[in-house]
Amino acid sequence: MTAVWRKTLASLRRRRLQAVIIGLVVLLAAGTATLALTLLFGSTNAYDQAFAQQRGAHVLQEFTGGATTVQLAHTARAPGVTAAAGPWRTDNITVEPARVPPDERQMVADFGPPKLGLEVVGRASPAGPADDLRLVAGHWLRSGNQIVLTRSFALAQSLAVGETLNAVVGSRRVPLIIAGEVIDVDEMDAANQSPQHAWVLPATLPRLIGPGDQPGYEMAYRFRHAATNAALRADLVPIKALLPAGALGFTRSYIDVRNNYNITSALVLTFLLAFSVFALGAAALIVANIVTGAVLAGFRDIGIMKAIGFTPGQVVQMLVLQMLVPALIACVVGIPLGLLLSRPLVTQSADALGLPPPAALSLPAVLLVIAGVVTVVAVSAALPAWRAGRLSPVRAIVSGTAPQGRKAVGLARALDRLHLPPTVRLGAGQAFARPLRAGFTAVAVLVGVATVTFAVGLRTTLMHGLNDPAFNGGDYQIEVSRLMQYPDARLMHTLRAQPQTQAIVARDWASVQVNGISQPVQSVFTRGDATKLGLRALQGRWYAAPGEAVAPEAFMKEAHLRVGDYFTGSINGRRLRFHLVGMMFDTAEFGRILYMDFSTLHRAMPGEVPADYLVRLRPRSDPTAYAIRVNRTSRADLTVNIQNNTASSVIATVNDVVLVLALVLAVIAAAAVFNTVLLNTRERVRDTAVLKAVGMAPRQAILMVATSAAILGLIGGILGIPAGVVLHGVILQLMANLVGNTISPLQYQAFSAPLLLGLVIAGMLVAVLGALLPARWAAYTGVAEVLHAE
Amino acid sequence: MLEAPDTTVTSARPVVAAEHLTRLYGEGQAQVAALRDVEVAFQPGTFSAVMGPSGSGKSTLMHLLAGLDRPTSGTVTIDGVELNGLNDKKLTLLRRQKVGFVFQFFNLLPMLTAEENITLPLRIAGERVDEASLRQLLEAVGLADRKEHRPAELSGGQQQRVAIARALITRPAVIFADEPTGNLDSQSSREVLDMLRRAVDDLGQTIVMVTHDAQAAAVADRIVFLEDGRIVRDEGHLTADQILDVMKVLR
Ligand SMILES: Nc1ncnc2c1ncn2[C@@H]1O[C@H](COP(=O)(O)OP(=O)(O)OP(=O)(O)O)[C@@H](O)[C@H]1O
Ligand SMILES: [Mg+2]
Repeated sequence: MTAVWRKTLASLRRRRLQAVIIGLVVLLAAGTATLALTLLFGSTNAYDQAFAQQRGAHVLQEFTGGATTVQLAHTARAPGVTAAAGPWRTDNITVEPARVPPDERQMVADFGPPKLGLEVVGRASPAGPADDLRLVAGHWLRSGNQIVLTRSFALAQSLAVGETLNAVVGSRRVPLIIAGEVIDVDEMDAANQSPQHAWVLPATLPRLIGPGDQPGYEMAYRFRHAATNAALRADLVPIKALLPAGALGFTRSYIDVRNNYNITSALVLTFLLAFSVFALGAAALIVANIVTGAVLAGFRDIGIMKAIGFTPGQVVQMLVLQMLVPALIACVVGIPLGLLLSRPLVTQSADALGLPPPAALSLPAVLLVIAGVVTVVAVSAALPAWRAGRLSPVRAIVSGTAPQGRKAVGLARALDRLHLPPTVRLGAGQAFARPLRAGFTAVAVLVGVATVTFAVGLRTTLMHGLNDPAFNGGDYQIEVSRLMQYPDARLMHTLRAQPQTQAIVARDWASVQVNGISQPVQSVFTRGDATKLGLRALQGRWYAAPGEAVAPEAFMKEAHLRVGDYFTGSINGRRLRFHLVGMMFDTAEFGRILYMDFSTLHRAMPGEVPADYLVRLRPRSDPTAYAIRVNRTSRADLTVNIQNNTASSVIATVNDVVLVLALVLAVIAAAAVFNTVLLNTRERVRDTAVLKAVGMAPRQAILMVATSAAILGLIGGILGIPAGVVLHGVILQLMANLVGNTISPLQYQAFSAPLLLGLVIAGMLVAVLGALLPARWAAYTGVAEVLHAE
Repeated sequence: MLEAPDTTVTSARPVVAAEHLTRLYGEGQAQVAALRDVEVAFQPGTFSAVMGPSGSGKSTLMHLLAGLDRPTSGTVTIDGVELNGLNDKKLTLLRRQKVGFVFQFFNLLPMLTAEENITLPLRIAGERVDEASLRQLLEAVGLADRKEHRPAELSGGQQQRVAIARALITRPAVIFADEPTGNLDSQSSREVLDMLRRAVDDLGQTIVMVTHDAQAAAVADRIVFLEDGRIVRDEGHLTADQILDVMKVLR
């Protein structure tokens, strides 16, 4: 072993540059893989861990007032239910924070206190057989004037334990003191605009029910079969059977919560995992290239080693060790780097669930990365090394150089026929002198170019999507909500009176029971022309008549509907016939949603009036001044929100991560080219010397070597760009599917011809840059020195 | 295009000349003087051999004379141009026009055909290949029927003839050959030497050939003997036996 070691270290010292290349490439690959795996273990675990700890409910089910508490209590014994909690009385209420933070005084003076919606639940104890609430601040409810909030709500609204919220009950205000904050694993994050629960003692709840409210009940269930949403839907069938028709209200599935909660990390993870596989693959190609190169260059050495008495096994060992040593050194740097980078992402997810921050070092992740690196490097080194190990020593010593690879590659022949300058033709010959190596390099470039193409396309598409009202929920600047005391007609009059108003769309929500779907579908009804807000159908057309509807893909799939189909259902018990006229994009409820005209709702609920208004302002209007003017008409009964369409943090994170990954893979691709050109020029040092002896100028030598790299870059680029475009389509579709929507690949012209051409040129440039250094060596190595070795 | 090298002029001016040529390798203790204060000149249309024991500096001298390496001190003049003043680019241009090479290991480019190897110097220089003179040259070296073959498909002798044709195609002022027969059997050696001789006699080519082989040196008009980096003897035409006698003394 010591002899092998000594020889290994000596070889490493001699081939320092190649050790550096392996080190760099493995460092990048190991860093990416560590980041991905730490995230995988850290964040998906976090939710499951919290869910198990708190006996999270698989389903939080709302019931309308039609069912009695006795009937509901019976559902706990429905088949398939393993645990249940509730029924709890619920009501949707509005609260106003009593304390005004100093920096919001002006806002409150202008707008009145902010009005926050809460779904309040009457619950005696935080513990129970399902849906435990974990207290993270203050204490549980002790008296009738207290309220407990979710921590995400308290965080989002900057509320603290001890502060007072005034519940708006008709024209009265009922003060509630914040007693504590809890983590509820069955709720999405308030930061995602998701409605939040709050808890009061059961006796308090009736005092909060105002005129016009529709109080109901809620229960938490755990089921035997709960792996998929389909299983959960099946679980609800026997429960539904125990209750009067129409009693089942809104259903919150833990899978949706988990998805919603994991959506950022799920996306980021998908990219990270996919790309770390790419990075490791590219690293493997480079290692294989280097080892093959080392075998070729050390052909004679190997023969001598074997003649001295090295066994084939020892030769393999030596070559593999020669690659493993720099790879492991790279791990020492790359893994901590990956861990460091994963830190904010992992703590963020643990933090949101109120879990203690996970250990800085995820041992399984680190071990997996090391195992992965060692396997990839060892295997890609062992294959060519094995060939070297079996070499006949006599042949190796006598011939002195490795047998030349087959020259007459089809492509090189084809290039022969073009009448190119000799330097270019010679460069082409060099590129394909070792077809396997050329292939590996082209693949590495392909991966790099594909990633960059993908990243550039994704950025364009996401940015585009953020600015397109059809994808970001509509182009409006002002959202006004009114209380009962402020009638619809008066508000419409107020809004119309503003000269800056360009379009007003009033909005209302209701559950639609669609035949063939067990759970009601939360639906949006618009009054006024919603297309004036830029909303539009991606397929078919927008609704224009009563009974017409548009929906995202998730609903269409669940209901087995296509654009143009008719379907039946009911709203508020009233049977209706619907016509699906278009497919839209909306991520609310993961695409399980319907959009219809208000006239449709009116048929089922003639007394219903919208309470929410979206206003699009004329260009160059000041939304703040507008909001203040509208709000002045009644500070108590209106909530006016200014819509700020800032890029979502999910998209920003995804964009950043993808860009970094693209850069990492571009660097790896450049390293691959550098390495190949280095090997080629070293092996061809004699050819180059002869060329220079017969009159090749240094500039021509550089051109020749650069051509060989540019050809590999061109091939990698030409193949990599379609790969990147396809990847872009697939991933976008995946991202859309994740939120229950679909995107046609032609939705955006993310890739223009000049952009693609630019990418091909960029690929070639990267390749040429990678080649420049070896090319200069080739150009300026003394001819006599080389020929002297004869 | 630059003027074609005029090899038929019978001026007294040597094609290649070296003055006080010294080449040291390494530094300090390990320093080796490969050449010490060498003075030599080669006249146009002559065939000269350079001989000497292994390590005597033959290859070093040749590389310096050809402008492939730079001397530690002293000067080399090719066709009236002093090399010391030239940068890499100018040196390359000069080599293109005035110098041809034949190596012991042929040093053909494996991916090119015989014909492509032969025309390579012209094409690198961006000059047109004259089909008629190429055909003539191929006939002269006896490779007319092998021009499409790649080096791996040719015998050693054939490869060396390709190398000689490659050196001749630019009609250089001087051709340097470093042990051109060192890697060939006696039959192939004779063919190669015969070709070199004819290049001198028929085309007026100037050739400087480094060799270990007395048979080869016996073809030359002049033999320069090196020992330990110095010229120790400078003879006219000698027979193989006479050469062997001189070599015995040197060793
Ligand atoms: N690059 C170098 N570095 C150090 N010493 C060198 C180098 N090249 C040649 N030498 C030394 O210079 C001397 C002359 O070498 P050269 O190759 O010119 O001899 P040669 O006459 O061609 O020998 P041979 O007949 O074996 O080819 C030798 O002692 C050799 O060791
Ligand atoms: Mg020599």
